[in-house]
Amino acid sequence: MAAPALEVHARAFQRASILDLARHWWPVALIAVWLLIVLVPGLLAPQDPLAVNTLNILAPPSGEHLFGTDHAGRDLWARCVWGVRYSLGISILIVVGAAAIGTVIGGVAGLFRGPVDALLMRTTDVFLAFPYLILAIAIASAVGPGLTTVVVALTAVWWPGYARMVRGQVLALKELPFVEGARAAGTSTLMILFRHLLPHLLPQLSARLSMDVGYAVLAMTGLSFLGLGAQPPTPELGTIIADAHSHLLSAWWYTTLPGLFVLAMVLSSMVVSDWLEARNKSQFS
Amino acid sequence: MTASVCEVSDLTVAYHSGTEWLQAVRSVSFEVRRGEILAVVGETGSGKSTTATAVIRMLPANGRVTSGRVLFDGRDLLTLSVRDMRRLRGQEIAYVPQQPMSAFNPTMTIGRQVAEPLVIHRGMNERKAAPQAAHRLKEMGIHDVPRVMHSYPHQLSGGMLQRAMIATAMICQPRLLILDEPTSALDVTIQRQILSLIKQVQADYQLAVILISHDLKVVSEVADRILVMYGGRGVEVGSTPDLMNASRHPYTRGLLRSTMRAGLDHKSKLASLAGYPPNPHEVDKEPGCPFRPRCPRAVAECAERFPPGAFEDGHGWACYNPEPAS
Amino acid sequence: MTYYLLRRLVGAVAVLFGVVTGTFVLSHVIPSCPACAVAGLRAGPEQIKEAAHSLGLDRPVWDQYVTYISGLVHGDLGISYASRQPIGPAILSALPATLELVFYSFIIYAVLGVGLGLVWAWRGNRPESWLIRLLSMLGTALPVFWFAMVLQLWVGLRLGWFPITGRMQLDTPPMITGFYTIDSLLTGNFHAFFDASWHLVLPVTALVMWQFAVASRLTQKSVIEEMRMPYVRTAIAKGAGTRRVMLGHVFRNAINPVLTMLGLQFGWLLGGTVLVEVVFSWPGIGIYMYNALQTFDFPAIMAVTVVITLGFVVVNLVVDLLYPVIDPRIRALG
Repeated sequence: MAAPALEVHARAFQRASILDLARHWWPVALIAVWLLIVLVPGLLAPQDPLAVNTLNILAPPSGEHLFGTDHAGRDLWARCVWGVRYSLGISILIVVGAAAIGTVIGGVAGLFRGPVDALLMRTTDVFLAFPYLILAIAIASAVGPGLTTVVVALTAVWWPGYARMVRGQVLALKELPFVEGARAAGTSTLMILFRHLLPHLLPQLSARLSMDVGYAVLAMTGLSFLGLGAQPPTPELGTIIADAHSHLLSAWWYTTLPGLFVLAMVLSSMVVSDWLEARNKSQFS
Repeated sequence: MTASVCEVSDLTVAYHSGTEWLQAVRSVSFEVRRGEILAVVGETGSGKSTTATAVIRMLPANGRVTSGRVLFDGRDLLTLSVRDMRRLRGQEIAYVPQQPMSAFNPTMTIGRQVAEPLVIHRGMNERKAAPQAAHRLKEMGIHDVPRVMHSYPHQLSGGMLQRAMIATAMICQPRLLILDEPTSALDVTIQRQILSLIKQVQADYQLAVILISHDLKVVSEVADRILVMYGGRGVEVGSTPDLMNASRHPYTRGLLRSTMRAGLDHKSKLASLAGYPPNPHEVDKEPGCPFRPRCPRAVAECAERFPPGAFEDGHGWACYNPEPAS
Repeated sequence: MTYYLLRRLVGAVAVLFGVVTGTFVLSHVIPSCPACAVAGLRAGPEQIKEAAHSLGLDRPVWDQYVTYISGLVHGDLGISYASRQPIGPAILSALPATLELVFYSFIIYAVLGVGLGLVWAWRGNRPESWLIRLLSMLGTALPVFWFAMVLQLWVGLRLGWFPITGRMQLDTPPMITGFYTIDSLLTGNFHAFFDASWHLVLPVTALVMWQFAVASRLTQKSVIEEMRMPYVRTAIAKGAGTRRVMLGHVFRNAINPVLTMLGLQFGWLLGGTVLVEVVFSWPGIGIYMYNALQTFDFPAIMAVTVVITLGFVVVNLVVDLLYPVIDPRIRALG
């Protein structure tokens, strides 16, 4: 009884996503705008984020420089827009990577159980129990600063959450007849995971992914703020804000405005996640 | 004839489900008198529990009483202020919910929970209320009262908890006691004990009792009168002997046959009550008798309009083609 | 009961051990050259070798590990690459500043978070609920270091209401607990007390704003869930009013997951304090760690990690010990 019902739901989810596009245009539009900034930042910010102009340092916002200029006379608006490319783009990379790793590991653990599973659970216990920022700092400081470091450190602390979630889902799903059927037919484990289980996990996963992109933005700008992430002059938002701190007294825009971008990104991710979750709920109840 | 304590007339309750309102109880009327046990019997989804919760105004957030009156002491409970209603609950009208195991707060001792109505209504502090709680527990047939008082719910058996729940209900000496499936979560032997306890308490205090149950046979042992519900409608009401021996509604007959023979022959149960309980989405659209699809005596009129009630010496039924009086 | 406690204790030690081992392995697997850093840029191979020897880096890895662990067990956190001084005393002198900051933030956000969560659940869809919801969304989405800077700039500098750096302007009170607020009160120095409290306002606000959302959202969720339990209906049937139902029945049952979260949050707070301390030049272990990061002083970074883990583990152990007190069912688990 339960399995076909779930199949229907999984299909309904895919079908509904096209229908919903029209009805709930704004979260989709939100995603589109951010992706556009990530992919073609030059569209919104024609100025060069790296072009130094020592004659025009720390200029307040004006028609020419919407957000003013920074301590090297670079256009702050351009730096922020390009900063979104780094901060958001890399955060998406981190979360998707962590989700992929977590899904495979959690899925395998859930399908096989046994000692693999036990080991995984203990490992994730340690990861999940621990304040991720500190762990990321420890890892990042061992690897040495840089964007790669941030990716490595945050992926390392992020995957266990997904492993946990996917494992729990797989444990529940694998008792269902259609999985047992696939097994009996000799389908390989990974095949079962990707062909049969993943479609069922996607709705839940998508809401969580969206939320985590926001958290990853916060974490990565935090690491950059401490000097562990992107190095100047790379326009990454955490780095920009860190630079701004020395000019607290002289340039309010430098301190205040870049953070709004971070805030907007995280808020968007939360809104989209809420929207996805609400949609899942209405479809699965 | 003794005065009625509670009189429900034309009660209709609807639930909001997603996009539409579904009527769970439709134009149900009955009364309970002092010193009387009225059993409300029906299958799951018949609206019996909804009726009980509507009386004490504890419908879930998506439920509304759309019409009807619930007179208690001549006052309509449905128009009372929240504060006045609160004053009645636990003091004048006591309610024993389903499933004693989950009806107790897991992190509070039984003693404090039994005494709580006194704290709420009589302004006592817990220490002062404790002896009365102990007294009530003893009265409900609990022997090691001190231990039970200091126990947490998970440490006691279902039967014990149900006794404690009845003690809680009785602690302010209410006049109306509503019990929602008080025995269905319990073992058969414990069921008997709890039923006889209810009977005894009712007799001692001349209580009016509304006893909700799905088991016609079990309640027939204690009830003075029985109301049978089906698909949100009251289909038959009468004294226990009337209903057990001379029921007129085909549903009541089917119910009786099925319970009487259930132990003997599995097939006959199917034969006597074919089909499934009605789906609330469908029954809500049904203008006629909700039992019609399963009824062996259905006639053409049944599909058009719900039959008006016929009465004979306090025995009433709603059917166009009733079983012959035997 | 004993079994329960024992299991929690073993779990706590395991987390601690895991983190220590993990960071150690990391620091030795990654091909970096701490000896080069210590010896300086212009050092030749001889000097680097010498530096490596003096740091014990030329010994086998397992030997270094054993030395490190046994040092930790005896409270020795190692030697800083940068200052060549023992790390333990340095951290110990910075710890009270962090603890004072974290302590006040924790108290305030726990009370505020749980209280607002309760109101949120209680009030359903009314305006105050929406306000709390909005605040909690904002709080979650704010980058704490940026919010700290914004407070510093607008409330501290522009409005001039609060000092923007450090713990005190006046002379520090004599060391008793290390908490300036408490020490100044103990010595009866009210000027110092107000000065210390005034300095706490902005950093505490930043940390509270950042974290209270999690607590309030979880409290709201947990309370809403509990409100659906049958025993709530029983309480209503007894004639209990909303206040009694919420505070007398629901709250106690809803608080367990919230406590777990508060325990975990304490750890996040310790993490976040690094960011906030940097912004406010708050002389705690966060600044110490930040400075260590700038000089790649890995033993110092590891030491702070270990200390924070320890604090985190202890707090969570305390939370675990609180469960049985709150929930008799866990007491019965044996």
